[in-house]
Amino acid sequence: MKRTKFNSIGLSLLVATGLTIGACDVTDQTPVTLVPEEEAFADPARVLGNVLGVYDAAQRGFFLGAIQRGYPFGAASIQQGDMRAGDMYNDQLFYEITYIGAHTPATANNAEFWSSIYRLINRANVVLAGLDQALENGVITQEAFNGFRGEMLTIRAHAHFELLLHVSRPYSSNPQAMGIPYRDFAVNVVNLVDEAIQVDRGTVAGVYERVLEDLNEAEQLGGGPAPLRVSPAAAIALKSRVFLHKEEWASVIEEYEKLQGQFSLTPTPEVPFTSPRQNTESIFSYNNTPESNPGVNGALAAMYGNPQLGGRGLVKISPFSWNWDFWHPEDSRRSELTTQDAAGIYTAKYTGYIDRDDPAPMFRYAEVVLNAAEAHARLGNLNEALELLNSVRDRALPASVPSYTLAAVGGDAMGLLDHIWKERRIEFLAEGIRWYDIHRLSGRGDLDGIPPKAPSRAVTSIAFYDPNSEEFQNLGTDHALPFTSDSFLWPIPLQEVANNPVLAAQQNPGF
Amino acid sequence: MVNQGIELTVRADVIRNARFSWTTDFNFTWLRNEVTALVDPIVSAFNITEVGGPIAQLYGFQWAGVNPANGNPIYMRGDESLIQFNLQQGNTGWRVFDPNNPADISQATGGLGGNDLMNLGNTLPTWQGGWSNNFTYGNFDAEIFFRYSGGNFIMNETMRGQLGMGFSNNNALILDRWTESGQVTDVPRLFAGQDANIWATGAANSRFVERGDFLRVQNIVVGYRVPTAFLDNTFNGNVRSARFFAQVQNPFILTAYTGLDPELNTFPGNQLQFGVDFNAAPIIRTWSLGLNVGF
Repeated sequence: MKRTKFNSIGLSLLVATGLTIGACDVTDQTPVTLVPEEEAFADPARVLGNVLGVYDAAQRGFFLGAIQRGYPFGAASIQQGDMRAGDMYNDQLFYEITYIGAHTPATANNAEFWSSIYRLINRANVVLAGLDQALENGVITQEAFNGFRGEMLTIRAHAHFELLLHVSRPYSSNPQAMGIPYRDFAVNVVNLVDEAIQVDRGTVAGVYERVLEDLNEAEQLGGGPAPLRVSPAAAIALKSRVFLHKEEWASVIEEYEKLQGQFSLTPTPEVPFTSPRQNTESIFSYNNTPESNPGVNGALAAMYGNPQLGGRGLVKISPFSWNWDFWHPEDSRRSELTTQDAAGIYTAKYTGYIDRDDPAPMFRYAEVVLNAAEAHARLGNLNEALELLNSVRDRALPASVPSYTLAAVGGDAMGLLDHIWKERRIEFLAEGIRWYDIHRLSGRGDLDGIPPKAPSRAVTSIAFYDPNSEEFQNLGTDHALPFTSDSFLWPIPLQEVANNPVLAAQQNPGF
Repeated sequence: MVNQGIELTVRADVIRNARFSWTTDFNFTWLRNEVTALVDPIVSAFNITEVGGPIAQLYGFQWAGVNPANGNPIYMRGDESLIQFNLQQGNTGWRVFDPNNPADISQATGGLGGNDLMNLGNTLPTWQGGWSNNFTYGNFDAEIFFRYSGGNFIMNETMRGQLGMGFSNNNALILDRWTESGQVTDVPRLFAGQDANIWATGAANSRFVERGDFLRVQNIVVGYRVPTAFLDNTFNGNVRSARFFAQVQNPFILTAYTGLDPELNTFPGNQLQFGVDFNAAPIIRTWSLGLNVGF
């Protein structure tokens, strides 16, 4: 009897299996939340969703397999730039590899920066291809197409340019040095991978050419509303930065003049941070929100913020920066944009300690102004340069402090340039921009590389900020990197060289 | 990927008589894993999976000791040359290490790179098994169960963190740090803010790769069955059986592994990142006392 029973169970299992297999043929197994590729650009709402998805990839990409830490542009580009440069000081293990220049192809910060940048670029390329399709099928108007395309081209150019400043030698030293692959087609099916890995690094000059080509087109096409979407002004601001690195001084001024009237410096320097979503100066910032932020392990307010206010204080203002003799004691950027506790002095530019929703500033009008000041100084237009420099500086100082005169800055172009660079260090402290300047100025020979920094994890109390204290006197410096060092550049990460023979053969020297 | 191996089981009633019995069950598994085809090697922070080797091998830098002359950490490059990271305020940086002249720090050189990463060991146990023993003596019973495993390597990332240069949250081994010329040790001199260079963070490091072999007493149980006659008399037949027992799970482990437990895995859900102990929670020891009653 028992045997029969088992047989019938076996038989019913067999029947059940047969039914399940039969059912597969008629059931639609596609989850309702998954939009098939061919329908992704089939209506205007989906097109917009895809465009915004690219911002999402920029604001919070992958880091070690999870969506976190604001790679590449939600926070990381600013933090990594600041940690390479050293005007901000590293107080914990978190950013130490970047701060002391111990990066290898295996270290996470530089590796994930590369990966998240190319992930962003590919997303932009997927959308660019989809937009063509949507326009052809009459899903969106020509005007909407133009705006979206302008946004995608600017994002693509910006992502390439940012990575270039970490992985390649500056244009100012050698335009023919190895660049980075400029990816301009969507890799959305496996067999395109083979085509994609044929793209080699090319030259720095070649990448500049492609960046400018994208930006010139974007500038004509249009875009979204500033500052939280990419507008044509973002393309122009980035062009001003690119031309500054390329040392095309007249073009830097030309780009500045395009934005004159459209944007203006806010009356006081803290406004772009107290009202980051609406002011006259912010040209483009990647938005962060409470629902989508880089998390406690990456957000600007978390990493840079005063622990007394809810930050973690992993990065402080360097005591050497605080004691710059060119940073006036009454400068409101000291009083309004910093905060302190018993352990040190912190930036107060990012104050979303709870929601971690500070927009990450990418381009401010103040940068375009100081870019133009430098270009004027290089061309010998000293009075124009001086006026632009003073426009940024004077708004931070009480009326009792006089504007710079030409004599006060040394009376010549070199003295003026020196003061413009110093002003940039104060104005853009904790915004990552100092790294760009170190990169290009080292290439020219105006700097020798990364200057000495406060030793990592050595600044343990507020006493270090008093220039007369024993602590400050004994602090010493460390972590300088000469321009000639291989570590001045980041390597191509291991994940890439393990999978891409073309780039494996073009690794930076020393890695 | 192929898995090959053998499994052996021996079961025996060693002693069986009216008052005493001893049953034993021993098994042994030997396993060889090899990846046979892959589009490209799969690399993560501590592991590499590539054709010709087992899945998720440890992948990282080769430690070559502490320079007795100055306390600098020494690493071996892919080409087998030696480099040291000079720990001297104002003069930090990678230098060539000359074994015949350890004090020489004159030759600057580049740091560790992608060509210096090597396979540092297989993370899958190649042999493992268990041995259980059951005893009865009159109304008493007992069980002791051993498990063993080995042939694998573990990246003790926890230990790397505990030897941090911040001089806080340290393992007691930090007391072995180099302090004077000529001292032979495997902990470099303390130097704040240089962990990343000293311990070559970002990849596995052979300094912290350890054997994962162990023999664990997994379970010990002692029990006593209350005689049936006693139950019948006391409960008028309402209770059919009763057994008191005491049990301890995971009481001892014999292992040379210096971390908390050789079976810890920080990435248990990811077979490609096996064999990494990175602040994983320990396996707990459980004591139980109980009474089973059958009605």
